[in-house]
Amino acid sequence: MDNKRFQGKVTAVTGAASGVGRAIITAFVREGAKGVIVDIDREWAEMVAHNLRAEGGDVLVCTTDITEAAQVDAMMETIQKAHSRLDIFVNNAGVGLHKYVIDMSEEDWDYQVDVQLNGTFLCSRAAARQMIRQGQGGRIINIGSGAGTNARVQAAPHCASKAGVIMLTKVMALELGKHQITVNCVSPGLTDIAATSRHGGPTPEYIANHLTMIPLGRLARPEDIAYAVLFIASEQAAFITGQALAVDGGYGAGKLSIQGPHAESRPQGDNP
Amino acid sequence: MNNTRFEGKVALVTGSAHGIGRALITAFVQEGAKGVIADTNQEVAEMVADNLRAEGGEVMVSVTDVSKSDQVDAMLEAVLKAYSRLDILVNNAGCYLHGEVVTLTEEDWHYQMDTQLKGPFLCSRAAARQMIRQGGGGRIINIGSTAAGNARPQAAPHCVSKAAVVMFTQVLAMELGPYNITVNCVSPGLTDISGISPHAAKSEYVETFLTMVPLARLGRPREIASMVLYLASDEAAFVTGENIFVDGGYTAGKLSIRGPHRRERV
Repeated sequence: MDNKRFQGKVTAVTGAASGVGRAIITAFVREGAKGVIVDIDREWAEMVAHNLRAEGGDVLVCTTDITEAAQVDAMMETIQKAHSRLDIFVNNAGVGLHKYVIDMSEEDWDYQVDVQLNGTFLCSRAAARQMIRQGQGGRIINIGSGAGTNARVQAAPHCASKAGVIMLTKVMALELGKHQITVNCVSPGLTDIAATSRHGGPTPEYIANHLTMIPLGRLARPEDIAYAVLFIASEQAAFITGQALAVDGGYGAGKLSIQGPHAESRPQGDNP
Repeated sequence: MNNTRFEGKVALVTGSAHGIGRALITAFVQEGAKGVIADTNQEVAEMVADNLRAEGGEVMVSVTDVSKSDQVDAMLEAVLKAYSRLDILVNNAGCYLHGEVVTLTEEDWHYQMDTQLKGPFLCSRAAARQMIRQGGGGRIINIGSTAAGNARPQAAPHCVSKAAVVMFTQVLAMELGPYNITVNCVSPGLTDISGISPHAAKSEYVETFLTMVPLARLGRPREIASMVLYLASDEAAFVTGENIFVDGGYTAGKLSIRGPHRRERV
């Protein structure tokens, strides 16, 4: 792989201090992009930036709560001041919350929907306005989830916000096509972020149960997600827009636990 | 891009004498794969093979009707004899037919269903058996169509066979996951195959179609190839059971419906 695929491209990733976001910004910077780590956690963000700079990367940190429009505007100003442009924006920031709807407070709901859906709107709008001003196209990539199309209990605001992100992706693809800005979604399956997450990732029981539903029989690696994002961000993907690409080992393809016929095959004289 | 990404890999593309299939096999061979051109048209297949060999590519031709299981078996045998393995299968072969259901003959229906649905089944089954024997995983990539999720008049067997190919992709992904064989579908939008196919669309059709494409142009065959090669690469090892559109945003929504139909905030 040519390491300079993104030479000179300014790439911002939200929630890039940990987990999948960290893998994405790391991959971009290693392939030549100027990276912008957007995160609410300054300490972790600076640590990631420090490590990337040690490898020779050009990296900027923006401490931003993406649910606040004023902070998103300030983020764009900072990027403009440092690099005078923005080419690629990845909406990755997310939060975890596990409750049944009947036990959920309005604040719980708003918290997750604000970060995962409204934050994506605010950042995409700001990024698109800048890309239109530049006049050279651009890439907006949203991190979705298998949950965007597969309902799960105790995850209503997660599933609903990710489904919303997928449709936001499509509408923005329609609206921004004329500016040669592509808008796509990459939807990871359960990803092994134990080493890079503040929260240590899901419980072993949850993982073991999840694995029974994944045809490829393993969790995603953060790099699996990053590779897909980089492909979508590359020149090679210029004609792909409005799409949601699952990187999930086949989890979303169907129900792996239902195998074969539920009655004996071809019972006598009958083929239901 | 590293030009030897597929060094040592054997890639077979059905329907690769013309059109998108030709762009696919060309891209694979140019990135180091040994290419198998499977097509019913021997003359054009040999011409494509000659051109690739002139660039230094290693290519064989298999004259195969993908809807005939004995011919598919013979194709696999020929590939194994020449290259001893098969790593990547692309089910691309398609055929063209336009008629409303009320005027469609049973033969017309079968013709397109056999090529576009039964063909992928037969080829995938044969390829998967070989990949399982080899033990090193593999890649099966089906060429779908935006028609798989978007009904069109005068194209019932096309739309139906492509919708079925998408579901076939998903079921096969479930079944072959344990062998590390990924199965995916790439669905092109209307693609500019003028010059490499006798079946390029009429200009009126293209004009109407373009009003529905956010990026306002046809796809380029090379752009379909980019996605297929990504899915065939090691980088896409965890992508399976997916259908990805390379269509300039055509399937994302209805571009012709704009804004509210009443005045805002009356």
